[in-house]
Order: sequence, then structure tokens, then C-alpha cells
Amino acid sequence: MTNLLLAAILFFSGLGNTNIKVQYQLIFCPDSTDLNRKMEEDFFLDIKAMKQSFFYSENFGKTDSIKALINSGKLSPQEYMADPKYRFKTMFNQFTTKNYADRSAETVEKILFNQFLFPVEAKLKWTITEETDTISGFVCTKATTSYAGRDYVAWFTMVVPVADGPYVFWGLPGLVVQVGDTKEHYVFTLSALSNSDLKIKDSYALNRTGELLKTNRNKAFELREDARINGLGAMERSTGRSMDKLTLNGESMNREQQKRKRAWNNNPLELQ
Amino acid sequence: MRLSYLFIFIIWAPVQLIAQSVFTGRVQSAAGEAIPGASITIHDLRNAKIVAFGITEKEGKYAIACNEKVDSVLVRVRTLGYAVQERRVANVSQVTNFRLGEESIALKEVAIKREPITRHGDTLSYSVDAFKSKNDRVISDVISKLPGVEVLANGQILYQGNPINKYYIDGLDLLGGKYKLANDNLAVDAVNSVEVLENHQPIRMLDSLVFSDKAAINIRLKKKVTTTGSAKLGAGLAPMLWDANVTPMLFTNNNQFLGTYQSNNIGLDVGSQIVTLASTGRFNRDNIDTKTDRVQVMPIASPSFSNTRWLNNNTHLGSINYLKKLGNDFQMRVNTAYLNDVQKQRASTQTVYFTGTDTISVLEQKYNRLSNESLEVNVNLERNTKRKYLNNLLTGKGFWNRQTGMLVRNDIRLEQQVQNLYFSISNTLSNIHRLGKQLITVDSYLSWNKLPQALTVRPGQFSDLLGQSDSLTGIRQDITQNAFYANNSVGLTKSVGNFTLIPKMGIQVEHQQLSTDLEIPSAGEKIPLAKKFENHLNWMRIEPYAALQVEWKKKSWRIKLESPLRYSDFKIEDRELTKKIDLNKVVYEPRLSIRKDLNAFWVGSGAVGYKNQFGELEDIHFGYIMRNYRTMQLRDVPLEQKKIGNATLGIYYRNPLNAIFGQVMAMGNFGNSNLLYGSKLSENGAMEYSAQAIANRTQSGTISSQIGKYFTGIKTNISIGLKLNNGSTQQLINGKLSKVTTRSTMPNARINTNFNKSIDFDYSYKLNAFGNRIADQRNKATVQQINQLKMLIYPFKGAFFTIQNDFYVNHFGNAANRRNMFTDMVFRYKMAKTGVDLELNWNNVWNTSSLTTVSSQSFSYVTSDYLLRPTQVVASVKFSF
Repeated sequence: MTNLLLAAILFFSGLGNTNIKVQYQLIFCPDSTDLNRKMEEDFFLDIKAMKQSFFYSENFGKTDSIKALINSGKLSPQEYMADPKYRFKTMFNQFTTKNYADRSAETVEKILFNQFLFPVEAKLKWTITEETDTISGFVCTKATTSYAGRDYVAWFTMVVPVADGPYVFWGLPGLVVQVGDTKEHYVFTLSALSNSDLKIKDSYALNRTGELLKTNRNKAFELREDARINGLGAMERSTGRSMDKLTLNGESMNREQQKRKRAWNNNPLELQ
Repeated sequence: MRLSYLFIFIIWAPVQLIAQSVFTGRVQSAAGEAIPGASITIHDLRNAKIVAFGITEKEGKYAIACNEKVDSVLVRVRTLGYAVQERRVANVSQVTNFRLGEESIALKEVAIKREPITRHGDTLSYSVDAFKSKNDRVISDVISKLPGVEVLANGQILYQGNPINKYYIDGLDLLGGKYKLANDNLAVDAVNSVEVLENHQPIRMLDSLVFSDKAAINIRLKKKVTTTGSAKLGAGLAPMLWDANVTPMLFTNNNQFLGTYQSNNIGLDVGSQIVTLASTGRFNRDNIDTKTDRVQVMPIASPSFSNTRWLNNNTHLGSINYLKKLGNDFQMRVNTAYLNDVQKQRASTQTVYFTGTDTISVLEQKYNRLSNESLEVNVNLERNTKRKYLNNLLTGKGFWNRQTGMLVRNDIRLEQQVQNLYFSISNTLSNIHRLGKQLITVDSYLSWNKLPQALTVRPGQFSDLLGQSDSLTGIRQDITQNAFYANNSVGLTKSVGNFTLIPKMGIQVEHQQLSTDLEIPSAGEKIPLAKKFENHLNWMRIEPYAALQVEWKKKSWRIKLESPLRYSDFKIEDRELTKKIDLNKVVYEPRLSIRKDLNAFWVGSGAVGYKNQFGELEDIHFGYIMRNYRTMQLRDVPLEQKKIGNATLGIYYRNPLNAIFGQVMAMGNFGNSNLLYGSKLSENGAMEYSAQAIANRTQSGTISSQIGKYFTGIKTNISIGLKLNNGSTQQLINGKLSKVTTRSTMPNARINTNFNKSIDFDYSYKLNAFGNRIADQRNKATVQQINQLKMLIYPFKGAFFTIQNDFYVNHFGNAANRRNMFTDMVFRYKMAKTGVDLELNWNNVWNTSSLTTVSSQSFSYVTSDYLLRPTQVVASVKFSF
């Protein structure tokens, strides 16, 4: 018990300069025609010395770290191709950085073969209600907002006085413990919180070949939707090559097949 | 007081309606450093409600507009690493600066427990931590508790009532179907999660083309490189007992290794670990190279419960399994297993034959010594990628089994000697090529096997049949059987829209030779016997076939139609006996199966099919063969042709969110055969089989259902199930045609709970009621009930104590209920520092020495009084490395 106390004291003294790692679990419905089809992904919110935070999907983080290994030559592209253990699937190829000092947020997103950098919403208009509840062990207060075509309910806790949360859902006077749209198609729930003795991920690895393209959120949204809806067409536009005879993972497929295969992916988080 | 507020409100209301106070200022540390990202909340003083809030930005500045109509408010500033500061101020625009003193806030770390079962597409992931109890040591302990998963007594794993098709460890198939070896030895602590891959198609090239309704299991290890293993050494008394097990394992990205040496004489049937539980072949008849025994000592039906109670053994098992990833996506796998197992069985049995008009009872006292020795080597080369598939499996097997049986019947001693040898070598090759937009599949299976077997009985039997007037001192049956089997096919897989078409052509060739000889051993010259006691059978079956398989899938529908057309040509000849059968026939065996995912939780499936079955070599011999000391078989019959219609219907439910799994399956079989096998029972109980060409029909129906739920909060798994069987056949008994109907009802229930940290509780109940009716004569039902209660108690850290009680209630016909109670106790202590386990086992506490079991067949039933293992105590040391 005393050890525990000691550890707690050691850990919490001078917290302002340490890092905090928050893990969120996202449960989402990628297919609005089949709401029973639920997927989940884990996300990290790495808070660096109460100055900056980084939000990314766990699998994106892994892919990104592997890319960094390849870039540094520690892993050869052949080894990467040969072994499926290096491949992690994510529906969210994004890395969002938030700066507390100027209250800004920007996202790097990989859409098809390019990487884009664009600022994202940093000042959602929140309404705080009087409702409270206990979620993931924290006493939380309910707040509501709207973002990109969906209405959201967030539960934040003043026990953790960090005005942050998953993705763009920040700016409340406490850490967001749970946030989800009112239809519950996308619900983030805090699943772990710890001080981060481990190194936190505070940057993303660039593609070796591609440079970072600066754009705005609306343009990025258009490109993302285009890639989602017309996969092959978007690839043609982005590479300038015809994709009529494309072989993906050893399977050749035409436009129709590809579309059918992706039909379940019809309910993105951002609708506009 | 309230009135005065009201008064103020009325006075100020018009002003306040348009009033907006703006709070501005800076937040700094005591040292004057700006603090961005701090939360500032403005609360209503009366109820602490947040009426406005803001976050500090650059230089710690903030600006918050407040529209709330109150006269004074509380401004609170919070941020991590600093003390909270509050100020009561009037609700008017103002500048308020804060200087925060450093203070550590006791922020609690949390880690929310994951849902025990999660689902990603077709993969269900069971968290091992959620299902593990302290006593669990190997992964099978956990797998048997997972809702929706069932482990049979032989180690076979079922998911929703159907056997799994693959058992992977970190995605690699090290053991090729002999998964009990890993399942019973892999330490539970090395495993992160158990995944069920639903609808698993093991061949990646066919993944989206050919649908599979089988599930696979994947064991996810915690670490990328796992070296694990366990060693155990135990010794005990009454008589001298031992139990040893050394099982090292290595799992890395490119190599997997599992080796084991196990030896015991405490009744553990470790040989079951090297039995193939998931079929590896792509052909229907992949069991062609399994061992068949043509002769036997009079068998003793083993009791249908834990073999540690009755198995009197002396077993040595060695196995080496190695998988290595080679270049170009190839992987090589070598599995070898050697078993040396001596078993002794002692029982007295009463066999009652119902003949419709009469019953014949045979009383025997038996002592059997079974000595089994076997060696099996598998070498497998595989390339399984999205682009290429190649799989070659070379298997060699040898069995050197010998059995000795001593039997007393009517005060006459009989000795039986059996030699059951068997050797086989087989090769299976599958290759898939991509040719343009379609896949070309080439499959080839070749197998040779040889079976030299012999049975000697002293004194000799069947002297009347053999035409000998004197009683015989002995009689010996020799059998040699050689077989060559080949099946080669080429197929095409093509997808057209929602359809997948798989046309296929091939040829099967089966050539077997059987020669048998019955001999009366004598010191002098050989006693000549009639030719009808010899067989020289030549069996040739050539079967070209063509098949078209069509699969259609759209959204949640899967429809598959198989329509194979075969031409079967049989040439069966015994020249010595001048007997010959020539048969050729074209048969069509369509099968339609439909499956629909009704929603994320419900799946319905059904199938109807029609099949032709021809008799096997074992079913025909024109001369007599002595199978055991009182069964003399003659099968001078035409080739059996059976037409079987089959229909199945299943509804499956699985909900990982609330951990409910259930299924109901119904199955019906309708068969028509051209032959009726009959038996003639002579007064001395010797049985002579024959068959007559009388058309007859068989029917059977099965309904099985199971439902289970896991209660996360109280760590409790409950499942109940019911299985009903109903069948009818026609039998010739002593020349009379009788209709035999059988019926069985088997309900079961199990509750397994871990709700309290210091007690585990596992109770299961099974009932098996079996009844039959022969030619309108109803025989009394037999009812067996099995209650098993296992309790684990953790008295103090590192120790645990298990009591297992098995309670059997058996009711046979008219006899009174027989009750048997067994208790075993285990005490285990884990030494925390060294990781060494000390264990003390006390089995059969009440020293129950014999047990009565019943096994029923359609027209006979056998009651055995089986001699059990006496009470025994074994102390052992175990450690993992």
C-alpha cells in the first residue's frame, strides 16, 4: 500500500511537465444499412507536457512506426512486403496534433498515395448541461455539440483538468471520457489513462517519396469521400494511370467489383 | 430572503436580459510563466452549475462571455500540476488574473477492462484474461470455458456445434490437425487471446471465391518470440507410479517448434494428443489410410468417463514438430510422433442378444493386454498466398500392435493372441495456378497400405463349422491386405459476377488384395480345411468423375449447388472360390446448401443432398473370416449399394456483446439399401454373419440444441443443451426380418463460475436415456446420469485445493439403480519465487474397485463390470520455462 502511495506521489509530482497517455476505444458502424455490423479501433491521445497533444489510431501509429523503420533503413521494403505481421489495418489514416497555446489543431492524413496537412476544427461550440454520470470510473458532466453533420453528446470529467479529447472533440473544461453522435454510429470511450513513461508518439513519419501537401479541411473531405466512393477512379486521378487492370492483393478486380466490395463502407464519421 | 431575491430580480431583470458580462484575464504560474490550456469555469453560486467556461490560450489569456442572470459567480481555474483556484466575484465584466501555485493532483490511473469477447468482421476474439481462473495452466482449460466453444472428451474443438477446420498458433498451422498436443501443453500465461475465425477458408487464393462454413481457431501469443514449455515429474504409490512430461516450445516469426516426451502409468491417455482432429485433406475420402482392424481380442467397452479412473497403462509418447518459413512464401513442416503404450483391462461382461423371440445371454470374464506401438512422420511443404497455392503432404505410418486376451466363459479358459500390424505411406498434393481470370486446381492423392494381421485362439472354436469332430487345441486366422489408392483431379475456379463456378474432372483408382487363411495349428502335418475358409480376393474400383460446383453469394446469402457425376466400375473376384462381382453404375449425387446471415447475430443454414454408397472391401468375402473367438463372418453377398438422402437445418445465434451463443440443428437421413446383413447365432454364442439381397430402408433423425451465456460481472458461464436421436433399421436376426427402432434422449447442463476470487465452481450434468424396440417388443430403457462437481478453493496465496466429485446413477432395464461416487483431490502450491509447482494428487478416494457400464447396440446390449484403478496418491513437481 505504501509502495502504491509512493508511486502515486512520484508520478503525480510535477505532472505539468510529464506526459499522459489516454486510450480511447471507438465502436462504430461503417455500414448504415447494417447497424449490427460494428467495428472497433483503439486510439491514443498522447498529451505532451500540457502543451501539445497527438491523436491517432493505434494501428495507424504502428504502420507509421514501421514506415519510420523503413525510412531509416532498419527494415527493408522486401521484409515489409513479405511479412503480414507488419501490416495493420485502420479505417483512420490520420494523425492530429493540437496546440494548447494557440488553440489550433491540424491533421496529417494519408488519402490514397498522398499525404495532406490541413487545419481542423479547434473551437467547437459546446453546451454544458447539468446532467452527470459515471463513465469509465470518472464522474462526468454532459455537454453537447454538432460537428460535420452529426450531433454529439460528450461526457467530460473535471477530475482530469485537461481540456482535450478524441479527434476534434476538445475545448471542454476537463478531459472528454466519452463522445458519440446521438445515433451512436461513432462512440469513443476512454479505456485507459496512464502517465507515459513510455515514449509518446509526437510526430508522424512522412512517406519517403511523397511530400506533405497543404490543403484545407473541405478539400481533404472531398478527396477522402472520392477515394471512399470511387476507389479506382480516385486512384486514377491521383496517379494519372489507368486502373482498369488493377490487381490488389493478388486479386484483379474491376470497377464494379471494387465498388461492391466497398459498399459496406458507407457511413463515415464526417458527413460534410 | 427569497422575497428579497425576487425583488432584486424584478428590479434588475430588464437590465440583465441584455446584460452580458465578459470575464477576461491571464493565468500564470507563481513564477509568472503563462499557462495555456487551463480550464476556467464560471459557476452559479447557488447550485455549482457551470454557466460559462473557457480555456486559456497564448500567454495564459482567456475571455469568457457569461449570459447567466445571476448577480455573483464563482470563477474556478484548474489545470494539471497546479492547485485549483476559486474566486467569488460579481457577475459583471471584469479583468481577473490568476497566479497558480504548483500542486500535484492525485490523478487516478485507469485501465478499463475490455469486453471479454469482441468481434471484428468474421473474427471473434476472446480475451484470455477475462476467462482465465487461477487454476488454469494450459490453453485448453480456457478454451473449454469459452461461450460458443465446446471441447469434446477426445480433445476435438467445436464452435457452435461444428468441428473447427484449423488450429493456428499466431497464424501458423504447426501441428496440421493434431492440435491436442498444443492445446494440452501450451501455457495459458503465454496466450493473449483466442480468436475464432468464422467461415474460414484456409486457402487464401480461394478466400473470396469459395465459401467455407467452418471456423478455425487462432491462438494469439503475448510476445512476438515465445519460448515456453513445461516439465513435470511425479511419483506415487500403490503400486509404483510415475508421470513425466517435458514439453519445450518455441514460437517466433519464422520458426515454430514443439517437442514433447511424456510417460506415465497413472491412467493418462497421452496418446490421444497425437490423433488428427481436423481433417487436412481436400478429398472426401481422406480417411482411406486410417488403420482398420480385421481381427480382435474380445473387446471390453471402456467406460465413458475420465480414463484416469480406469486406464491401466504404461505409456511413452515422443513427438517433434517443427515449422519453418522458407523463402518465397514457402513453409516447411515436419511432424513426427512415436507412441508406445501398454494397456491392461479387466472386466466381466454380460452380452444379451435380442432375437425378437428370444434372448441369448453370454457371460465372460476378460483380461486383455493391449500393446500399441506406432510411428508417424508427416512432411509438409506449403505456399499459401493470395497469388499462389501449393501444398504437399507426405505421410508415413507404422503400427505394431499386439493384443493378448485371456477369457473365462462357462469355466473354460480361452486365450486369444492378436497381431494387428499396419503400414501406410501416402502423398497429397494440391496446387492452384492462376490462368488469366480463373484458377486451375490440381489435386493428387496417392496411398499404399499393407495390413498383415493374425488372430490365434486356444482352444480352438467352431469345430462343427470346420467339420472337425474332435475339439481343437487352437485355431489361427491370418489376414494380409494390400491396398493402393489414387485420386487425381483437375478443376477450374472462375468467378462470374456473383457466381463462382468450379468444374472439376478426375479419376479414382482403388486396388486391393485380401488373402486370408484359417489354420488349425498342429504338431504334425497341417490339417486341411475346406476352401471356404480361405479368401483370395482381388478388388478393383475405377471411378472417373466430373463435377460442377456453383456458388452464388449476394449480401448475406450463400447458395451452393454441387452436382458430381460418377461412373463406378467394380471388379471383385476370388478365383479360388470362383466368385465374381462385376458392377458398373453411373451415379449422380447432387447437394444443395443455403446459408443466410439473418443479421449480425443470427445465421440460418440448410442443406439437402443425395448420395450413393457402395460397399467396401471389408463388406465382402466369399470365404469365412474369424473376427474374434466367437464371430465367424461370411459375407458372400452382392456389393452393397446404399442410397442416402440427407437433409440438415441449423439456426445459429451468437452475440458477443452480451456473450450469448446458441444453436439448434436438425438432421434427417433416409437410406435405401439392397442388402440386409443378418447374423445367425449358434447355441454356443458363436455368430455367423451373412447378408441377403433384400431391399430395406433405414431412417434416422437427430435434433441437437445448445445455448450458453457468459455473465461478465460474475464470471459465470452457463450452458444447457438437449440432443434427441431417433432411428429405425431392419435387421435379420436368426432368419427373421425385424424392425429395430432406437431412441435416445440426452440433456446436459453446465455451470462454471469464478464469481469469487477464492472459489471456483464447475458443475455439469448429463443424462443419457436409451431405449429400443425390436419387432414390437419394447426393451427396458437404460438411463445413465452423470453429475460432475469440481470445486477449487484458494486458501492462501499460491495454493489451491481441488475436489472433484463424480456421481453416476445408472439404471439398466429392470435392475435397481446403481450409484457410484468418485472423489479426487488435488493440492497444489506454487512457489512464487521459482515458479515451481508442487502438486499432490489423490485419486479415487473411496477406493471404488469396479464400475458397471452399459453399451447398447440395436439388437444387443453389453453390461460390463469394469475393474478400476485403485486409490492412488501421486506427488509431482512442475515448472514452466
